Amino acid sequence: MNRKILISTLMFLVLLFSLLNVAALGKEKVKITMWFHEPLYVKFFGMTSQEFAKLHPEYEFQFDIVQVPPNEIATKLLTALLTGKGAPDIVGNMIHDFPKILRAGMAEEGLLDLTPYIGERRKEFYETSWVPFTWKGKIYGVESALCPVVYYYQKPIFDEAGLSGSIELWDDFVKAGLKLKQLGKYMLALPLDDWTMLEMYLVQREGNFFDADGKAHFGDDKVRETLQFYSDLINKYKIAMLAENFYAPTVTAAYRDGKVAGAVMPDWYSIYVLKLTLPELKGKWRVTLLPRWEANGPRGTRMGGTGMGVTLQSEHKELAWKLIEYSYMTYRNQVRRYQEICYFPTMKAAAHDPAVIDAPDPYFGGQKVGAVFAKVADEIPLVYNHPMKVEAMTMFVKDAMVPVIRGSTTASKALSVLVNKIEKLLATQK
Amino acid sequence: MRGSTESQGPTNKLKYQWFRRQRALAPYLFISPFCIAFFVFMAFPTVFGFYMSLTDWIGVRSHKFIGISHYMGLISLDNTFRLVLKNTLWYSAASLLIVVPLALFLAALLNSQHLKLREFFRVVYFTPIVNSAIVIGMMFTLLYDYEYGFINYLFRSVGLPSLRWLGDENLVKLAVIGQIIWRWTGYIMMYFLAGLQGIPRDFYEAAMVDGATERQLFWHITLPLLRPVLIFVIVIVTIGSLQVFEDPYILTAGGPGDASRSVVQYLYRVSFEYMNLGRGAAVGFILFSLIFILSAIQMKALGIFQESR
Repeated sequence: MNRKILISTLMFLVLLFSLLNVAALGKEKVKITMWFHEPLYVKFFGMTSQEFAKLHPEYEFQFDIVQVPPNEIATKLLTALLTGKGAPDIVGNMIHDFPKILRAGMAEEGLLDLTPYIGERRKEFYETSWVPFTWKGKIYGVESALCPVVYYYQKPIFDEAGLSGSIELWDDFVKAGLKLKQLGKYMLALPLDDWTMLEMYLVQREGNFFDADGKAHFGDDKVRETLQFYSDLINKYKIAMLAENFYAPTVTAAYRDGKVAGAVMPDWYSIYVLKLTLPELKGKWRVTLLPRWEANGPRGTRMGGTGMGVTLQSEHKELAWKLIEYSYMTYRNQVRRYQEICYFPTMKAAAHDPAVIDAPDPYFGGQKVGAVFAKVADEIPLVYNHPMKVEAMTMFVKDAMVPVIRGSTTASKALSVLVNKIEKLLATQK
Repeated sequence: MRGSTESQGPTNKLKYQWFRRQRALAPYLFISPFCIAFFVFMAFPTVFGFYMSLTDWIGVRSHKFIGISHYMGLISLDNTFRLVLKNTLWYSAASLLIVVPLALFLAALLNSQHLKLREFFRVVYFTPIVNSAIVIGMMFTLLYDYEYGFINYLFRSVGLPSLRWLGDENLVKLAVIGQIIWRWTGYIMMYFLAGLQGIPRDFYEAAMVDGATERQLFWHITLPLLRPVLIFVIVIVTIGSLQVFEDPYILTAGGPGDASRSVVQYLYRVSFEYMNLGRGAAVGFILFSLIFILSAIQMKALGIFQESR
């Protein structure tokens, strides 16, 4: 009798197991590997990939989402692309690493051209989100955030100095900084050798180091004036604290101590730095638009960004693309991305969704921060990448930015020498 | 019967020949794994790397042979290469002239019979090398910070101005050297300590009976008997310091500008950020040649591999 029960139980379990697996019969097994440098992308794609799997029950998905350190991801990707093995299906290319991909010739030979997939939908998004990951008319990445830059400031410090958060021109910014200086405080911190920080100011003036045709503009008046202004904030007006490393704990300590009142930074700075490292300052920060360079001038600029692309090594390119499209190009997920990880929508309609612009942010004292970003979303200029940009900007930092900030030369002198070097460098480009 | 004897003869001969061949082949078979690995992972990449250094190899683009253009460019035209080479020579000089003597001094102290808590001090001095390089870099970044760093705090407390340890093109090298000294002295000290403990005490006792002072003991007994360890340390410190990468990379990323960048950092930048693999290979070979020449000079000067008379 016991033996009969045992056999019956075993047969029942086998039948049950078979029934449970019957749905798997006929399903194609798909493994999609993703590499991102940022844990927030890992989190967001972790959510959307599960939803995507449910939307496609004809496949049996396995998602492998890997966080690769920021200073390694480009090298790892290039190694995989160059050797023809080991590249992920989806990769997040940081905006300042993309020139390395271009330089190695791996954009055309390693990444999927997304232009035909994006098609007419391109117009639904801000053009500034496509351009940095576009080369020779082909788009290789879907931007992760609009990255609009604003001025974050600590209201209690501004109140103490009798300042309002509304600053019209950069000259007014300097005047406000001089008032703070009397209290022994800085208006912001600026790094010594991080050209991406300087580029924000240049782009706001609709200047660029490289243009759409790949021509260099290091000798332009806008570059010279921007570099001189950047140096003046530190040395002449002394309203900017010089930081050897802008992302070091010492800068957040300066915020915490009230030594530095604010930061000129993009949307992701709020979650990446402020909320993460300064929870005790919740409610004290506010956000305001950047000053203009001249009356009625634009207030918009951008900094940073990551383009989600598909590698040509992927065995499931179409599905990988569809996952990116679902995660980053649907209205719902554009809004949700902002709600979940504070990366501002790149889709025009989503950027003005009530859930984005009307949502109060407790960290910023209930201020509707999304509304501030949305005000400048339309006026962010285009930023261009170039295969020689990494090498050119290294020269710029070493031969212009650092010497000018250290006071060993002027912007005019430094740039007049640099222009010749850049021309020689570009002449060597294959 | 006669037939069976004849048929066994050739078979035995074959077996014997196969046995002899096996015996001859056996040593080669045993060393073949190492040889194969050496060829695949050392010899071939070295030769191929040298070939790459003679081409204008950029990423996956087609390349052509350009001879020694990279070498000429690096030596005569590339200011950055000359700067990083100078930085690296500074680090190497500091390692040889500060780390090695300091390590020897500490080892001599720790070897003293009069010192209490010797094991504790040994652990303390060795701990830096077992810590993560990133943790050490972060710690020194905080120590050196202009506004909040402990060093500048001490300076200000005695009325001295703060210094930009990581922001000044000259001071940043001192900052890196400071980290190198802190990180590596204990490790080198362990070599000397092992060497000192291998010196028989009889020599010291005999010398003390003859009235030798501590200084005489050190110069006339300790140093000569420690010579093999000293030579070994000098050679490995030279080779290691010329290939320094972690310390300046984590502390300053080579900045400001290239003021603290080492040759290996520059090699990495040229190869994997500029994607100029040919030029990066040339940097590597120049460094290899420098290390080889310096090591050969050291070994000759220190009398290594010379037959004793």
